[in-house]
Amino acid sequence: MERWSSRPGRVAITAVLVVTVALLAVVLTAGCGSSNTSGTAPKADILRLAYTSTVTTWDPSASYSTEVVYMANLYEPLLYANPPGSTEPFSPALATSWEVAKDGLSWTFHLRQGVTFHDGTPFNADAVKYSIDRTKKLNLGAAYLWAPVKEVQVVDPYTVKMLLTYPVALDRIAAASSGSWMFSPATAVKSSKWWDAGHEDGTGPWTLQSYKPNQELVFVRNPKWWGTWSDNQYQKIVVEIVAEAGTQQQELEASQIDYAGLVARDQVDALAANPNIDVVKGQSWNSYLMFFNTQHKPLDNVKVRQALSYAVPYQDIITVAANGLGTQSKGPVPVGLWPNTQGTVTQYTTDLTKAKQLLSDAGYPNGGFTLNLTYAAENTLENSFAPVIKESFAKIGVKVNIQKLLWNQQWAKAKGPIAQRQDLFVLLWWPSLPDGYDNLNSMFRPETSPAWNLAYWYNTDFDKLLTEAYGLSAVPSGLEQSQQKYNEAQAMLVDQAPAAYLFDAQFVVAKLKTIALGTEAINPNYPQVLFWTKVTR
Amino acid sequence: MTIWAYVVRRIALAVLVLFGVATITFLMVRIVPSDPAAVYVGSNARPEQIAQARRDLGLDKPLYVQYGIYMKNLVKGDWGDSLRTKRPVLNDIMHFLPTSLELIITALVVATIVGVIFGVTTAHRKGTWIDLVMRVFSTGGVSIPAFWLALMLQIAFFRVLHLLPVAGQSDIFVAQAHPITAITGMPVVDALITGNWPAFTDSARHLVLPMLCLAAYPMGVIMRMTRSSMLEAMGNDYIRMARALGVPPRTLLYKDALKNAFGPVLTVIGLTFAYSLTGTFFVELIFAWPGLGYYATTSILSMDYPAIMGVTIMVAAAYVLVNLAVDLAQAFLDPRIALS
Amino acid sequence: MSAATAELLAIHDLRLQFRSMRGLVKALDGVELTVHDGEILGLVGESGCGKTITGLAVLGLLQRPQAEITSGAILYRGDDLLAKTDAQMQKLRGRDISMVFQDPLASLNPVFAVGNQIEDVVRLHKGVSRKEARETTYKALASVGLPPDKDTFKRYPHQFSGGMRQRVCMAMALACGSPLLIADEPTTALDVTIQAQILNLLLKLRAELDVAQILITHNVGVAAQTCDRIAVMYAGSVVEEGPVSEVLKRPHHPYTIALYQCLPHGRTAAELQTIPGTVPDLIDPPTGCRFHPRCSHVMEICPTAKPQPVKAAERHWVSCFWAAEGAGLSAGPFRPPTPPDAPGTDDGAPA
Repeated sequence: MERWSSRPGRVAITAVLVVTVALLAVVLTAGCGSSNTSGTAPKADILRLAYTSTVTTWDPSASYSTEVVYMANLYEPLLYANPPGSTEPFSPALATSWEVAKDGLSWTFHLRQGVTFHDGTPFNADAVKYSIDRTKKLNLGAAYLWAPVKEVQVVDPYTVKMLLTYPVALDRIAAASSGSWMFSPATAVKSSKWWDAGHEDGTGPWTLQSYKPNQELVFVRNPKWWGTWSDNQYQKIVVEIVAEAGTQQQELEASQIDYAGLVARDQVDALAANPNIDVVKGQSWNSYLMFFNTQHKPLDNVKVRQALSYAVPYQDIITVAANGLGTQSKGPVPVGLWPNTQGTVTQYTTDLTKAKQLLSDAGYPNGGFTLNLTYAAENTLENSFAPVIKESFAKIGVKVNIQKLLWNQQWAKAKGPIAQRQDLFVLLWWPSLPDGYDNLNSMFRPETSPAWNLAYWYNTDFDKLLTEAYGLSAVPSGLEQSQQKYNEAQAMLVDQAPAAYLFDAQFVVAKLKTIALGTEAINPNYPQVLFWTKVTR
Repeated sequence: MTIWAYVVRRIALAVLVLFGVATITFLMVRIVPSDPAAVYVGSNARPEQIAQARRDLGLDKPLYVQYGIYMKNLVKGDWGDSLRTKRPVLNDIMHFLPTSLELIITALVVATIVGVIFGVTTAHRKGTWIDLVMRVFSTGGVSIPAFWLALMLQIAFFRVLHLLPVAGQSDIFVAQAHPITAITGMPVVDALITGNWPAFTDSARHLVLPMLCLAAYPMGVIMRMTRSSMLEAMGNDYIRMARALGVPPRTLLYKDALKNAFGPVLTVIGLTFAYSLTGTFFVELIFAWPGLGYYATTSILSMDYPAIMGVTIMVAAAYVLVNLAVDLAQAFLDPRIALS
Repeated sequence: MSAATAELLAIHDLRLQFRSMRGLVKALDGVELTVHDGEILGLVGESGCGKTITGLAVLGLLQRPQAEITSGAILYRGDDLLAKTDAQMQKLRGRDISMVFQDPLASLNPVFAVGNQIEDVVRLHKGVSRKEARETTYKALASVGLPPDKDTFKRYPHQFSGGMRQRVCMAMALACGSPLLIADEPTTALDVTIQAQILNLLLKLRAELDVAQILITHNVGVAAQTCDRIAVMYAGSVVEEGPVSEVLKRPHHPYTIALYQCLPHGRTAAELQTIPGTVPDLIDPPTGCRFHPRCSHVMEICPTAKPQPVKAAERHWVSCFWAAEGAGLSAGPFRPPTPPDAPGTDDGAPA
């Protein structure tokens, strides 16, 4: 046979075969041992997280998307909004104290001293002015939140005063999960390309060590952080981007990661049964609603909208889509978030008799009309509950055509020519700041061209009421009156029913029992964010 | 015609094809109702921000003007910036492509070796139980849905046997202790070049399952084609002649018959390469493999049209080049084929 | 013509059957053949008579289990080839016994240069270095009358003419110095002018390299032109065998006589005769002498027993009851038998 070894075909095949077999052998035999023999770095110092969140921009002024989960650990705002149930609504962050003038038009923040940015630049009033001015100037992402701020004044190195054009609750804006970050003025010379290559310059407890897009992000402790480090906190955070919930689950069960940020709702029970794993659930500001197109017949008739609101199978939706992890919404502001009505507003129940009666009153005794429903294909929950709505509406004689569209297409259609718009628009909404005003303002205020008011419901009374309520909320003394106006406004939204308020969703994550999440590790005011300093061994 | 004239002509043709692909893709991604400006500014954007972005990105111009600008830039090597990642599309593709290529190439090498060996064996042992078993195997490879196969592989090698990792490209602890220096962008190759053995073993182990998952379909197709092509070749007189002159069976099979039978197999390998370029998207998603697949998927889902265009053009270019390579290889294999 | 000396190949009572969809094909029915060193034996007969199968059987190239040798022996220099293992046979093929086939284009691998194909066989059997193998290859090319240069070496089969291709085949078959070549219809696919060249080559090979040959052909004329001895096969048996001059001048077997009459001895095409009847179905062959249904001299004994070879002359054997009787009756010189008076002798078959 060796005489034949010079035949090129044979040689190649044999060689490749031998290499493959050898490789496989190495790979397979090394399998069991490698996890015990790897590395010099103490493993216990590394926290391993599986996220789905990719980075759309590293620019702290422009950031307004999934990267918030990283931004919130790299940067800090002036103050943090506390989770619901806390005694104080806010905690000091880069501002140690703050006060608002009686007219609500001027806010003063006293800044924390001895704080430096990751590049070594000291944090001071100039840095605050620079950060807010730049964000406003770029006018990207959440910059609009600062729109009421006319001017940021440097009073002294550790005091800033913000002058507003109209009174707003600036504390809520300063604590927002986007646009509120303070970053180093030394970056003024950098372009947006520099940021997006994977740079950061905040004051936060963590610094970005390496960034591989769509793959892996590594963060290490900021040794100069103003807060205190304890021994049971982690030294290093490694985030793996894993898009599939099933894959995250498998990796968690294999202890290849410590924390899975995405859990399929139908897998919650299976995961909870695993003795090594904790499933963590809790309140979030995510809520699902369904806009009625008030410019299309017969949805222009309020009785029809009310009828359909009675025909929505709220509990079925929560059971089917969210595996029970949600509660029927009480108006468009999630329970627990200011200014939810705290029970004063009525809820629609699922009552088909009432629904039929209302349809009959509206002149559609047996329904007999057809509605087009759109939802975002990316959203697995919407995918499961859209048919449930269709089925229920069928019982009162209303036919629903379901259109599954990519979010961008769903949204583009809603903003397109009036005749081509949908009748029913299913939407997942979360506020950009810890203020339910964002829900009411964005989704129900009159708009010149449609953006988020996808009911196309333009009510001047509501508009006026909302402006008043918002202005009153600027100063602590006005909160009570503000809440009343807000309650009135929300009662109007329930009665006029430009949308059906489906349910407030809970968040679900899973982790190994070997790690502990502090009480403020997850805070609904910072959606999806895990505060890594609050995670301990 | 010399080989160079042929190659130049084919490449010129390829440029035309790519031009067509770019045009059609541009029309398709821009005709579907979607607002690229809204994608650019992200979720929860204000209308005035979207309007601003529309002006900045030139989306307010008529579509044919936008097309002209896009094509002009494309020729200059500027593939535009991704609406989502804000980085140049070409950079993004070059960043994600090597990881995907590592997966695709290893999968195709394995699929070819196994497919050809199985194909030759089944042709040689036609009608025996070996033939039957291997053909069931290939039918499985072709017909089993990738997601199911992925799941079965994960269950078998990870859950039951505890042999291989379930997903990802590296173990976090290993990667932190033995970071790989990027040279080619293919972790296994880079670890090998730099002699980083712990990282090499680790990344090779992570490669196995997605690679097998991706290899299944090409393996089945290659095996079928090899089998039928081999059966045809084995019936030829020159095989009888070679036997009459004492050529041993294995040489008969793997040299005399296979070189003749390899033409159609090569074509199939070329086709499956193109298939794998897109087939890998799904596999990458399941196995959390940070390649082009995840980038393409998220780009499509968010209607990030410069990225979609970039990926499409890249895949089309790869397809065209692979086909050219296949044609050249066939001419190289069989002197009777004239390049024209 | 050199006189035959030692027996190179001897086939005794070779019986072989094929399994087919319709049943067992009794393809060879006790073949007897000998080839001596340096001798050219013509194996003639109609297609389907078992000539090629006999050749393939010698080389052990028949497909098992479809083909099964039920009895007999094939002795090569006294060794029974049927007792050898596959590996032994494989080593023997191309080194001791080689074979070339009818269609030289199909016989050559289209995707390898002819020089490489020859060289591979040389390296396979001789275990020599590439350089030595190349020299041997050039010698082999020269021996078949092809220019022994790089150009020939590097050409592919489709770049040759038909005659040259057959030369390449022979070079490949003889490169390792096989003392025996089985040439299966080597000229059938070629033009008449080229045929003569190839037949001359066969003679030249015998003269220069002392290669014994079995020339399988359906064309008696080809055999007459080239061979020392001739063996006539009919339906799986050799019916007559002897020196060419003997067999063709004084054929004894009615089948040989009939074949001889088919030859265009300077006659026009219109005068050519064919043998009446058809080749028998070997799944259910005629009993006794397998030729008897077509034989114009059929006798009572013919369907009942298989005739054994009898000596018609020195080294001339015939297996025929009629011829044996005739030979026994007349001790004098052979009297050419009268041609059959009418076709369709089947009528005369006894009940």
